[in-house]
Amino acid sequence: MINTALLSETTADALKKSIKEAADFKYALVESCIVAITDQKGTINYANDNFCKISKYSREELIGQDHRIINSGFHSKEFIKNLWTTLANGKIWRGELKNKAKDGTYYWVETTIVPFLNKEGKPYQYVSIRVDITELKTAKELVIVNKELAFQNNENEKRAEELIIANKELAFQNKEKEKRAQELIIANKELAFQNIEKEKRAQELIIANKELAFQNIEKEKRAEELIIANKELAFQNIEKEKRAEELIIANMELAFQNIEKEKRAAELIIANERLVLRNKVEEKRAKELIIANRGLRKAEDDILKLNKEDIRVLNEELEQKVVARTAQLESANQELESFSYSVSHDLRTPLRAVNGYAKLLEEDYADRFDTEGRRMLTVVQDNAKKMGVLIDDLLTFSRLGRKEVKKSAVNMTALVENALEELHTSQEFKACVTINDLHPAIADTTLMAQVWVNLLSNAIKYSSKNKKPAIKIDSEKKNDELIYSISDNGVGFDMKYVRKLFGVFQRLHSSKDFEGTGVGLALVHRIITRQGGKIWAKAAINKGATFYFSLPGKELN
Amino acid sequence: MENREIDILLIEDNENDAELAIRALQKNNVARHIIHLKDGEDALDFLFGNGRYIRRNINNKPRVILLDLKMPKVSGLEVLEQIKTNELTKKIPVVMLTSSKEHPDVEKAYSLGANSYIVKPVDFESFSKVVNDLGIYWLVLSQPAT
Repeated sequence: MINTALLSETTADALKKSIKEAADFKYALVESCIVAITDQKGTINYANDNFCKISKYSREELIGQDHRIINSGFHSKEFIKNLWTTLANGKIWRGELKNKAKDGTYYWVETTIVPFLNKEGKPYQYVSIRVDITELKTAKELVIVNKELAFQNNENEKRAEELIIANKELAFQNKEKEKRAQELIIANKELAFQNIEKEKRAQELIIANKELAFQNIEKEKRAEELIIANKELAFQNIEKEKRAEELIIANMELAFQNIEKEKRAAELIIANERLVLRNKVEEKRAKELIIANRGLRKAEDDILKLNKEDIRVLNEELEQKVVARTAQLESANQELESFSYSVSHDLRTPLRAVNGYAKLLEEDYADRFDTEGRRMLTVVQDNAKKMGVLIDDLLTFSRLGRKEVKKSAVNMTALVENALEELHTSQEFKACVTINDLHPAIADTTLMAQVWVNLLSNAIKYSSKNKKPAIKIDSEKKNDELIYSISDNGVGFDMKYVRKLFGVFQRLHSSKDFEGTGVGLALVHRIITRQGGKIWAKAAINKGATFYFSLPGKELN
Repeated sequence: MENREIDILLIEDNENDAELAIRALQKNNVARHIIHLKDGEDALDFLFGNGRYIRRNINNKPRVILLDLKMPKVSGLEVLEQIKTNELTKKIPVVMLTSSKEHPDVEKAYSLGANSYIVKPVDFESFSKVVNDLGIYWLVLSQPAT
């Protein structure tokens, strides 16, 4: 379009002006920017000074080359492909490019590539205008690097702080560990000490163990000794038991001996009685002699003075004999009495000891006796007491032998009633007693009272097992005798033993059934006999008994 | 020599009877100080300060004398007679001990000045009671003879 001939002057002027302007623009452009022009294939056919300066290549080196000479390899293929596609489409490309200079250094350029289009609208050359932005880029990069550094700094600082904290932590831990270590050292020492202590203790325990083992053996020995001692004690116990049994046997033996002595005493009493009886027989004979004597005197009167002197002499002799015999009898009687007294006395003394010591045993050792032992002790005491009663009865009996009989008129009914009353006060009984009007008698009141008490208590005693015991007392006068009777409906007795009824200590019933000493009837017998009376009885087993006694009745006149 | 007041002088030859009597006397705390002598001779020596009692204070007289009638050597009656005829001792009450009231010597004892007598019963309980009553009578109720 420029080389057209048809161009007018103005047009020429205008053209000239335009060219100048274009040249000015080109100059300003070339001076301020990096300018390069390539052909459609990219081969460089123009490079200004700025281009040479920045790329450190000479113009000659650049012309004929393409832009690969300054390729830094920094940009991606995608980026380069986008650049060429933009240009191929006839569009301006703008962007920042990193290039490599000849010396290998890099530089950044703000690039505008303008495609120059032909008539067909196809680019035939490319003009690239670039501005050096390396510093800016570098500054930016620095900022980034700075930021990075600052960040790293920050991070480092953080890390440092963390490290400080960690350090402190470690230091603290170190100290702790040190402390711990010291503690461990101390603990170690302590353990070591304890170990030693434990060893010591162990040794002590070993010693103690040995000691205990020794003591065990000792104790075992002691236990064995105790077992032996126990056995010994058990043996002694048995021995003592044996001894106790022996003592019991000895006691029984003594009791038996006592009974034997009792028997002996009874025998002595009987012997005594026999002697008394003999005395009486002899007394009777003496009386008979006196009577005979009297008869002789009568004969003398009848015969008058015949042999008067002889008879007187004979008489005197006889009198003397009677006196002598009487004296002998009296002395024998006295001896018997003192004998019976001393028997009674001497029997009581050991008996008192038996009873008294049995009582002391009971008082002092009651807790050591069992029931049976205490029962036996009671048996001993009871029997000793019983024997005491026997002896007392015996004394009463012997006293009667020397008691003088004082006769007087006796109201027998009143006597029986008194006796019954006396019995009532001392014992309870349910017997129905009937007393008929009794004949009065000439007798010893005291002795007769004793007779009635004894006979009544017997009747009460032996009828006590009857459901309705009854006792009847009666009297009758027969020839010159007064006969009194007392009947009961009690157990009675077998008549074949009647002869034993009035003997001292003779009993027809066991003391288990009926208490008694066997003296009562002997006493009655003695009293009646001494008053010139008689006593007898009639009975049958379980059909009651009747006792009779007689007293001389003619003395009433 | 001891000068403690003598409550009872017991003169008894039978040791068992003596033991029982002492026991009965002590049982109810009637008598605290009891002296027991075993025969009449020893008893007279004791009362009059002769023989082995030569150094005894004879003015320390027993308040009551219990005297057994039947004793060997010097009998109870002889002891009684000497006690009752001596100015020193005649005011001391003397109680005779006997096995039986039937004893002919009981009457003689009264005539010689015995103050009372005790029959020693076979039964210990009765004995204990009798002795105890007697102790109370002579030691507690009666005024001492001065």
